[in-house]
Parts: sequence; C-alpha cells; structure tokens
Amino acid sequence: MTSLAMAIHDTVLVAQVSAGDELAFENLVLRYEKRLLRYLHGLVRDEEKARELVQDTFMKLYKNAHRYEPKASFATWLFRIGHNVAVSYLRKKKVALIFGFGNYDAEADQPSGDVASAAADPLELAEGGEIGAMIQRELAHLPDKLREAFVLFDVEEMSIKEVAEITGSPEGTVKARIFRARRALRQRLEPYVARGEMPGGTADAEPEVGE
Amino acid sequence: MNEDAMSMIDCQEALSTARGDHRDPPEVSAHLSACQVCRGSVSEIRTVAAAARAALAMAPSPDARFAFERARAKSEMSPWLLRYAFATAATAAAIAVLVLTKPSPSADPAVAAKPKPSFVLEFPPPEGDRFHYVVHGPAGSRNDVVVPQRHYVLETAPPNAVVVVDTF
Repeated sequence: MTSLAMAIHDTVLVAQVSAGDELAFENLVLRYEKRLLRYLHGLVRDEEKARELVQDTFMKLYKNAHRYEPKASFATWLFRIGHNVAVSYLRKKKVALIFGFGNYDAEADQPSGDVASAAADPLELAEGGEIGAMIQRELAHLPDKLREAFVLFDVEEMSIKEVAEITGSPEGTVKARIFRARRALRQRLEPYVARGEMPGGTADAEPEVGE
Repeated sequence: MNEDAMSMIDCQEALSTARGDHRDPPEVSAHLSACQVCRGSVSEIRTVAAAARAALAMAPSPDARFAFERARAKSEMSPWLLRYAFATAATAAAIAVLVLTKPSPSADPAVAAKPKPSFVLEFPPPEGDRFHYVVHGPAGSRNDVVVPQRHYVLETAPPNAVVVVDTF
C-alpha cells in the first residue's frame, strides 16, 4: 500500500471510528499499536507504563475521532496524542518524585533487560538481550526531549516537520535535539559499533546516498 | 564532488537531518558524498537506530478488540461522570443561591419584619369605637373578631390563606 493510499485509508477509518465502527478502530489499533508502543516505550522507559499509555492514547483517539482534520497526517495526529499523554504522565511522575508521594517505583525507572518483540527469533533474542539493555541504558541517559527526538526521527523515521508537529517544537529546535542526541549516542556506543556488536548493521556499511 | 552543494550546509546541519538514504535532500546527499567523516557518522547512527528499534520493540496486544472494549468502556464512563458532575454542580449552585439570597435578619430589618395580613377600615365604626370583623378563611371557615382599633392584624390566618373580610 502506498503512503498516499494509506493516508486516505486512515482518514476513512477515522471517520468510521467517529461513527462508532468497531472494526475500523481495530484496524487502526493493529496498524499503529506497535509503533506507538515503541515510541512510548522509548519515552517513558517502562514497558507496562508504555502499554497503559498506548491504551490511553487509543481511548483518546476513540473519543476525539470526530475532531481529526485530514490536513495533518493521521500518524502525526495520533503520535501527537501519544506525546501529550506521555508528557502528562512524565510531569505527574516528576511532581510525585519532588514531593515524595505516590507509589512511584524507582526500580521501574531503570531500563529493563526485556527487549524485542515476542515474534523475534529466540536465538536472536538471547544474543540481542544484552545489546538491547545497553541501548536502552544509553537512551535513558539522554534528556527526555533529546530521546524523544531521536526515537521519532531515527527509530520511527518521521520527518523533521512531523517531529516538530508531534512535539510542538520549532523545526530548528528539533534539528538541534536530533544532532545532540545522535552525537551523545554515537560517543557512548562507538566502541560497540566499531566492534560490530550492534544488531542491524556495522559501521563499515556505507549509507545509501540520495539520488 | 559538488562544491556548491557542499557549501550549502555544514557538518552539523548534515548530521541533524541526514538519514543516508534516498530521503535525504540533495544538499545533504552532496555533503555526505563529499565528507567522509559525516558519512561514517551517519552510518553509525543508522546502526544505533536499528539497534534501538529492536530494543524498544514490544509485542502488541494479543487482541485489538480488547482495546476497543476498553476504549468504549472508558469513553462511556465519561458522559456518566459528566452527568453526575452536572447534577452535583446544579445542586450545589441551587443551594448556594438559596444561601446567598436568603436575607439576613440583621441585614435588613424591614424585610425581616415581614408584615402579617392586615385589614384597615376606611369608614367610621358602626358600633361606637369597636370594630367588628368577620374573617372568612379557607375552606369556608369564619371568624368573628371585635377589636377596638381600626387597624386589625390577622394573627391566626394560615400563611397562604385567601381571606375575605366583611366589616360591620
């Protein structure tokens, strides 16, 4: 399916959701749940919380589907909702930490070693567990805004414009965040990349240069 | 190497936006073609991004239907809460209005001393200096009253009684 066809289809699905169509809602969940989970997992660094926030995001989608205007892509709109949900959660968590109330578990804030999807190859999962935990640990060292910019641009492969719309930041700010996040991660992970220990490629691989 | 394109952006600009594939704008591609350091950096970034993609991946929910049920249940709860909140607010507002508009006895003595029903004869009394009233109350009740003063205050009438006064 081309991105244009996908966008049109999304728009139709959202209209159907606003009319209470259960199947259309399931379709959108199937289409975007995995990406939203990855994005929110990267943002809040807690798998269970990421799942809760994805549910909240879809709940807000269900309630506000009639407000969607096709001038923005549906993915951007949905991720924007997810961003707001996550920011709200992170803000509450910080307040809870500052004032010392709530049942916030400090252990849960540490990166978990449980990585990769259930569909991953078991051998790959065993080999990738350590690397995955290391990547998550290094991501956790980044400030929230830098981590979010990196996850949206490099992991979710969204455009600068889309990242700016989702985060509500100017494009120049987004570029600066991406630059800083990339630089920090490269510095920290360079030894592993140089030794070819990263899954998904080696440092020797030449990037494809645009036409 | 394309010097013009290279001069359009610097390394920081390139490393802020480069993906190292066909999505890069021409000036970024030109810069990567010309700058080996940036090319290597973008390659590392791609590797790290791929690893992060795998590390952050999570298995989606086993059944999307549950997501719909949860969303519907939660969204259906909201109108109920809204109605509840509205009813509570309306009740509170009504109580507030009653409390705020109820006159304080000390605040306005004229209002506090609400006059009871009274009747005034506008002609001289037929029986010397005595005034004879017949007060017809509700449901056909009748009460004969003979008083010395012209201005008679009806003490015993029910609050909402329609009273007809005959004078003699």
